[in-house]
Amino acid sequence: MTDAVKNVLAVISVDDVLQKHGVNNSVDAAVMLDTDCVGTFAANVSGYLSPLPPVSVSSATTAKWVLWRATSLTFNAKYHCLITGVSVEDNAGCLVSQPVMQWIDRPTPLVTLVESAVQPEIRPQTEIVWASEVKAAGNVQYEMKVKVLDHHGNLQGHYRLQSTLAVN
Amino acid sequence: MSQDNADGTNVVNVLTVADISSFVDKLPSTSETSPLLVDKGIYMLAEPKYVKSGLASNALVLNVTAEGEDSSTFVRFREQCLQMGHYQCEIVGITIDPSESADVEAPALHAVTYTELVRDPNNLVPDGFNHQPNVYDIFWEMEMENSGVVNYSINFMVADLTTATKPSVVGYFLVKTSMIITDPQD
Repeated sequence: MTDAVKNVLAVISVDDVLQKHGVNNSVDAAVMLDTDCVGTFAANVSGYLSPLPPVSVSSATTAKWVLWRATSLTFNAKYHCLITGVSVEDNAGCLVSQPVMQWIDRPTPLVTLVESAVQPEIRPQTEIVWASEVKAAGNVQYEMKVKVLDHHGNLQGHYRLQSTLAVN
Repeated sequence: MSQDNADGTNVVNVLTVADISSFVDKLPSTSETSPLLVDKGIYMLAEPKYVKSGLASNALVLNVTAEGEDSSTFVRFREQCLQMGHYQCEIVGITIDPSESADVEAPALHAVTYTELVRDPNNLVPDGFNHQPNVYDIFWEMEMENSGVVNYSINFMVADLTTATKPSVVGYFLVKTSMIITDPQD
């Protein structure tokens, strides 16, 4: 089991983004999103996500890892938001290194059919997050780059967002 | 501004983001019929025309453009848990307060299927996705005939995913909230 994790979730209103900015196909000129079309949330939780590497430094903070992920406010049936990079401005020295892409096997509830009975069970489901190890408390600023695809897998644009995160 | 279905009706997507850690230790109720009322750790977001409510108790003001005299607005609810992999939250019921709400049909559970794009751990090339078809997206939907205020309660179940091989129910929680649907053409 991993020590405590701080989850960061960016929720993007893709319909709003496309109406406001249109489709942006340039990965080198990703459009910055304002807070009028994206919400960011952060919360701690302890004891899960075993595929993460063990922490390499001792830290007085509760969170040992910060995990970033993104989702579309529009139903998944319409758009997918995929993080292509997270960069951090860490003047307080809160993080061991810049975020990197990590695979995690998150416990996921599934419904299975056992003979004729429907039974809930938990199975690991592989998912990508962006992760940084924590070494000290403080605030960091981060920029997340996101690629938006429609449900056919067609590119709808490259976008980025910035926010501040309190590591504790 | 509105998101249109193929038949021209208005669709509003509402997402409830739950920070389970902020209220899970409050002696939760294990009865679906008597959930524990929570007033923090719940955030409401909606689109089109992005709206974010810091607390569920704050009204979401949604601007909807009517497509015609007979058009309805379909409001779709789904949930997202901040503590991925540790907790799971599921909306198990949405109750409208009829005495303080506009004309609205009782919310009901619906499901659509979609194709999930899944990255392949063994093929880490850019844009290397596997298409996983027929993934269910389950949501609650209510239909509004007119603009107005809707006061409603969301009953949701929280399960712990770190216990053995089956989810264990942590408890049932209730959040009271409201939305205001306005027609900018009025």
